[in-house]
Amino acid sequence: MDHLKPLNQKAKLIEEQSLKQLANGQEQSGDVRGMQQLPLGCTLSFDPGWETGANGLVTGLCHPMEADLYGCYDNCSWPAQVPDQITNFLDWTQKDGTAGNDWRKLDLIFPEDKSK
Amino acid sequence: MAPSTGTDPSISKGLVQISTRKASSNPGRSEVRREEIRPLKVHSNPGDVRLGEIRPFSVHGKHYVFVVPVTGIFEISELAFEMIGLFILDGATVSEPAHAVAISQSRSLAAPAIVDALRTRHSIHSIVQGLSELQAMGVLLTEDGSLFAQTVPPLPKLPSGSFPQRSLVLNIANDCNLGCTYCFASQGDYGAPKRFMSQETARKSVDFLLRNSGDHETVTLVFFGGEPLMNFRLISETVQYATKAGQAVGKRVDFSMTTNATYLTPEIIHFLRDHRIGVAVSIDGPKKFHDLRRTYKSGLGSYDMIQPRVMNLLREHKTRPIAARVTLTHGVTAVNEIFEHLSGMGFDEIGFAPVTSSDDDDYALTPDELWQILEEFGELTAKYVDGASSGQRPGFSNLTNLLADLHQGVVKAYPCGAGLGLLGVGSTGDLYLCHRFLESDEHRVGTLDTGVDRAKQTEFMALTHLSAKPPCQICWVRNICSGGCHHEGFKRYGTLGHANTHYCEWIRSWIDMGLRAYVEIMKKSPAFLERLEKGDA
Repeated sequence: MDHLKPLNQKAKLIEEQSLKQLANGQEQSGDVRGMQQLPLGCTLSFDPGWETGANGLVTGLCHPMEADLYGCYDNCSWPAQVPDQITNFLDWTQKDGTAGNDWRKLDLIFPEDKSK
Repeated sequence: MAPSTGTDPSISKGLVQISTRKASSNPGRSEVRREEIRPLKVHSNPGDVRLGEIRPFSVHGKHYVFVVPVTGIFEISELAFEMIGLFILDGATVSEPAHAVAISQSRSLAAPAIVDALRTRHSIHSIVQGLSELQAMGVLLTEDGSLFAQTVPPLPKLPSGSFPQRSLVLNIANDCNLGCTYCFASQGDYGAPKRFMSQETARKSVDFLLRNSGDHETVTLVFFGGEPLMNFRLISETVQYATKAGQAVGKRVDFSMTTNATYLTPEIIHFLRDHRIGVAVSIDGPKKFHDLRRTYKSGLGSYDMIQPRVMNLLREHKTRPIAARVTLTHGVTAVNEIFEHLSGMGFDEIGFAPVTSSDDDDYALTPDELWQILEEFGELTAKYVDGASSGQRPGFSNLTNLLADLHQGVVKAYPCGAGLGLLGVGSTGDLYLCHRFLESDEHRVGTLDTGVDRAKQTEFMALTHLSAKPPCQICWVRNICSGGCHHEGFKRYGTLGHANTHYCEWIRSWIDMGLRAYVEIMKKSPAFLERLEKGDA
């Protein structure tokens, strides 16, 4: 950059991040914010709760990581490798209660081969 | 050319603006200013450009910008500096050390207006490039029609799991042989019965710390009091027990201690040296200052008693840096004189703490004295910058700590680890938020036997999170200060979670001073900051 020179470590991180985004052809996100350090790395605004805790572990997530399954299942139009609730597999989760405990009860899904 | 899309502040609403009331025309030396928060409305067109939450500043003709939400520090070009200036409303005083945030006194502009305003002095190409770089770094934002950017993320959901314990502060002697008049522990006993911690409780503390330390490879045990050396036998037994217990689980236990130095015999000093126990000595400078308030209960000053012992400690104990902790009180504000005296004695690190008090305590610092201290800090900071640039290790620990925070670019939701990774253990084995809250029923958060009361801890975290402190939301130092010491706030306002608003402007001025020192050192001696990064400056 010609007009800004990062001085502290955080500024360098931001520059790196931004250069990476540029290289990948991604758009810049306008509003850069720091993740707050200590002691909680968690967010309520995302489902799935993908942010790891401040200590790099998944135990501090706002949702159990298994909840990602549902994040991608219900009301989500994002293509994901789980069945979709919106059109094809409305009752995929009928057998279980909570994601963290009961995810093993979820069935494998084999879509019908429509070519036959 | 004057940009035409400027915002008239009179029609602004929805923003939060800070206004400071000056007590006199001499800013900085007058009464600490109180702050008021009032809402404003912003008028803007989507697609316009506005200032991000930043603090621009200049040192020795070079320009810099501090990006508040992320604690990023950038040096900026002349063009970038001019560009930022276009957004700031006439009459706004961003260069004033204590000014809160530039955005509350700025307008939004359409890109063509920015180009128009600068094209007589700069090429269009470089203007456009500057604009895009400033936007990429969050210095400028694109107006999206929203109100003031949300400054602090909301309180995150608190996890039900526990926090790994990193430090325990043990109140091993709830008693003190001195009677320092300003002591937050009420002359050593926190107003509770005088008693010593038992060996059993100390061992339980060690077990508790190791058991709950999660992934930490090193944990810290702090011997505190009262005067911890009144219970030296417990220290010596506990150090041996903890070292073994740590080895058994593959962790290192670090030890440190704060003492008034009256009991430092040669045997004790050798023990401290041999076991690498970090020592902080409470000492307020030369005799004339020290003896003002660090007295025996009879009123007799303690300087003559501790001086030879401290000298002995400094001579003999070289395995860990020895720190002096100075409490600044009414009449004790000559920071440079005190620093000279203590570094002359041989202390490696010297830290200053303005006393915690309410205004009516006779040892309370007056507002004038607080500003005097800041001026003294300024002098010491200038010496620090010179020292750092010539390869020394200046021992002014307040500044070293601040520089480390700035260098890293910390964003803190809590001012410290109290109640989280750090807990205080009372002499009977109760757990408290930190050592300053020892023996206070209201601030007990569990016991060694039953563990941390998670409900109480969660309540504490919700109460003291940065987002729960309204005055902090618009402040440019919030991610570094986080509202200040819980205990000081509690003493002053009688409640937890109140930001220490009585010294906001002072803290902002101090952090501003640190920021300026930071960029100067970065220019002259970046290697010093790299050492800081590794923790050995």
